[in-house]
Amino acid sequence: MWLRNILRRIQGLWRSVTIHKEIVDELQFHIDMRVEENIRRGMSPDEAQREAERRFGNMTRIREQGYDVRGGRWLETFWQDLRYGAQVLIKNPFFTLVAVLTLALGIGANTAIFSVVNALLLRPLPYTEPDRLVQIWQNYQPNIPKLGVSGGDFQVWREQTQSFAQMAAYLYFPRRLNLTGEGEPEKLSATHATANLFSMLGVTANQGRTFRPEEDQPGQEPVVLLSHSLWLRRFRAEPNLIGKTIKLDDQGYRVVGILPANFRLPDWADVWLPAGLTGDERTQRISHPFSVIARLKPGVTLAQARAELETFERRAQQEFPKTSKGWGVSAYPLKQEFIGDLKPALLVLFGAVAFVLLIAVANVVNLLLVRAAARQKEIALRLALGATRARIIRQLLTESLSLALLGGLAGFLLALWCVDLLVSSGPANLPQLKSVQVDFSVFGFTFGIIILSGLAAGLLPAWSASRPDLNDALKEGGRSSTEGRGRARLRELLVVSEIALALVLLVGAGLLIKSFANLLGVHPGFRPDHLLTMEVSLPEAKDANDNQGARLFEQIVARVRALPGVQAAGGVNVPPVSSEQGNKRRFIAEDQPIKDTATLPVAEVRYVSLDYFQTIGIPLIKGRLFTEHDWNQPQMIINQNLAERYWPNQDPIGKRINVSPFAQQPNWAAIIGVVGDVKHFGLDATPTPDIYWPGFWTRYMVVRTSNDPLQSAAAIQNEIHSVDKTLPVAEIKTMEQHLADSVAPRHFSMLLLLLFAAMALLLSAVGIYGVISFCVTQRTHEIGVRIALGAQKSDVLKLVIGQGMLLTLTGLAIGLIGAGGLTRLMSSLLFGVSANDPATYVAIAVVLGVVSLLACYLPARRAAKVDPMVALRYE
Amino acid sequence: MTGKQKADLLQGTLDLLILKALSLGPMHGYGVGQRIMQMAEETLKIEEGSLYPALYRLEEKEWIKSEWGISENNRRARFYKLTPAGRKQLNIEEENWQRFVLAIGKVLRTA
Repeated sequence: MWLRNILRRIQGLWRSVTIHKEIVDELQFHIDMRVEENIRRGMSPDEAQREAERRFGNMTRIREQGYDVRGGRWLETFWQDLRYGAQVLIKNPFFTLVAVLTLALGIGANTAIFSVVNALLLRPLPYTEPDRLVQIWQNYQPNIPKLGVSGGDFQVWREQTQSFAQMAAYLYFPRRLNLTGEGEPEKLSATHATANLFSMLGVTANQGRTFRPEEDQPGQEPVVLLSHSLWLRRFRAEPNLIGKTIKLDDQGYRVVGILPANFRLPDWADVWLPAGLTGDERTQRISHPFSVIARLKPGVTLAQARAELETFERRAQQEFPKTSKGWGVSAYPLKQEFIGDLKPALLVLFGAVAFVLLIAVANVVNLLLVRAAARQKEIALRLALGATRARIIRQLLTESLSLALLGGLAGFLLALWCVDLLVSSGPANLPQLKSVQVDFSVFGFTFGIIILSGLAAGLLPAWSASRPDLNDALKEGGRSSTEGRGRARLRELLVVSEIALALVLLVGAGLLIKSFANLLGVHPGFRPDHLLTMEVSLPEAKDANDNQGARLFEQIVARVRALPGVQAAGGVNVPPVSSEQGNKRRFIAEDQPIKDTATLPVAEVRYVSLDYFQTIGIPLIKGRLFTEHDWNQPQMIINQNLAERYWPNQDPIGKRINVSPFAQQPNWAAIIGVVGDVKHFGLDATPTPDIYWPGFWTRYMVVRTSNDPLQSAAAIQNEIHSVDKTLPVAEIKTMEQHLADSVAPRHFSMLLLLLFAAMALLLSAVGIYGVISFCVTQRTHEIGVRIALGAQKSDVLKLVIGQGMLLTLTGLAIGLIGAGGLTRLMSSLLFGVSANDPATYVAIAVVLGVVSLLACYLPARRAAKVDPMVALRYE
Repeated sequence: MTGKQKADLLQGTLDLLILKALSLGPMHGYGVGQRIMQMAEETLKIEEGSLYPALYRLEEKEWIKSEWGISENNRRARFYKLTPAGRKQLNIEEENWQRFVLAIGKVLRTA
């Protein structure tokens, strides 16, 4: 209805001529009919005409009234305003350019960040009824949250809980399988998923089908689902792949389906295999390999579901005290799991761009105020000639809206480019970024802020410009006196707020930079320079005790070590600071009182080759490192953290640790050495107790080189292939890349906030420059008088700069208070620095103060150069 | 025509009269005016031109629709016709009017 009206008005606009003619025709028809009637009644033609016109009334007025209703006068005026506005904008290209660019920055930044917020926080997950999907994790006391779920627990919950309509599971760490066949052998990341995972989520295969329930049973024909990207990349989008067999670790699997491109549960998976849980796997409670997703029954709340899961967990603790004691369970909305810990960073960034937009709008308000002052005379004249105030406001608003529209358009294009950049160059370990796109709701948001900023920027200047105190205006316009006090106050207020906003942003960015610097200053526990890591997949040993794998690995390592440029080489199952999960195990330390098996400590267990510690640069603190003779011996090396925790004032060498507290036979191993702590889970992680085993399961080769490690990569690969051509080598990366990747999300949000803070700084500097130089222009006469009366250059400088700095200091003071309150919201993003870090606050205030001083100095210098003769004549 | 006292049109009643006139069937502006005069038995004073802005307003509200057609004397004329929404509006306004007349009548009788 509303839309149709507008459309008709727009039509009316183009057809205004036709409408005029139609009305004239219609009215003429009326007159003619009346004249004919009158003549029939016996009047003379002249008399008939006069009588008809008399009865009709004022023809012109009626035609205009009719036109007002029919012709869309409203839009015609709008069109007029628009044309007039465009002329004004074109006549002042510099003003237009500055205003449009300012708004483009503000609107573009907001659109780009909003598209991320929209994709990650607002848009529902691409599954059926996503709000009822929950993620279930188990946790282990005292404080290890979000561990996987054991097969035994999953099976019981799935069969016996009442809260869930369905429950599905998948392996939440990758099983690496060797894909052979056409082309180079390649390591793929595989997960095992229960057949109902797909139907529960409402996901259908892009081609083929998903798993059938019977395929979930062990001993079925091996089938596989492929990720869309694997199909595109490895199989070059081959159309007839369904039904064919691919080889993974030398076993044939029939491809039954290809999943949709946006299916990312889990996001690292290349292939999905059926869970195929065997009887044992369905009851065991020692290992916790599953990520469990469930759909709540209608009407069941998350709290109810949690409570039910907890009852089951308590029952399991009683029934299986040995394995289940100490374990807990919790459920979270799936959406929350998808976002992960991105939410605080996103909200901070969103707040930051909102600030940038506010500053941009404040700048445009300033510009428009200056413009309005320059047009005061024109406006006053129009008011005097009878234009209504509403009419003037409408015209000025049309202008500011056109500015916003132009700025918004430029901003939108900027945002499209930025979003592309965000998606393609964002950190690889933020896979959620891949789902960011500019969709209709982003467009709607942009349009919304365009209109809002247009109105916000235009309303104040239009309101104040159209104030109908004609006398003042005409007087002010006529003489170069200082402008109205009210408008000057408004302008000052704007500058003060701009500086305050910019300060808050800059402090936020400063805190993130400091956090990042702190993070980079953290010693990882090894020497990360000149290190190359690569995944080398040895065939899995049939028997862990025959050391075949370890022997083969040492053989390869020996050849690599002999290469020129290679200093040392070793191996480990998972390299430090990589995003991969290692193995966690509960253990019992000798001589330690165990109050309760529920509170057994958990250690990170890593498998290493003989020369691993020397190669990567982890220092030996006590005891000795591994030799070949340790391979089959129950011996281990621990880290300092573990040693200090359990043997604080004793020599841990020779003490024993049982790493299989739940097995029939305790598995005691003696400590032969203590090495330094390593930040396995990232530089910001707290150190964990670590246990190193010698030998058999090294997946990553670590090589220390004397030159750029990547230069040696090809030679090392050749050397590996000279031992066995079929060994796939993957993930060739320097350790410095691993480190950079591990801090990439922080780096990313820091860079973005820094960018926005820089924009804020620039915009507010432009703002204060604009205001002060306008003031100088306004006061040229007064300054001229002062100079004529003997004021020195320095006096004038002091006068102008003093005015600017007073505003700056007020803004800084307000900004410092605001920053103190607002930066607390980002404390979860900080590392090693308090949200109220005085040094950062002071440094940022000084930077902003100096920039603002510069911005004031330029117009002040101009003021000091005023020639009194010229200034006084300049009236 | 001359013997009778003519009443000025009350503000806002023209719309009601136009809707009523068109409820008898589609008609051009001139015809609408004629019909109103006939129905009022020439007791109303209407400035004929004022019909047109009123017609356009009613069309804007979508109570009536218009299209060009041929008049009874074979001339091109714009014909108006009541829409279903207009018919509903007519009912409402008729009721309002009856209530209004009743109320005014009561007041006048008690005086």
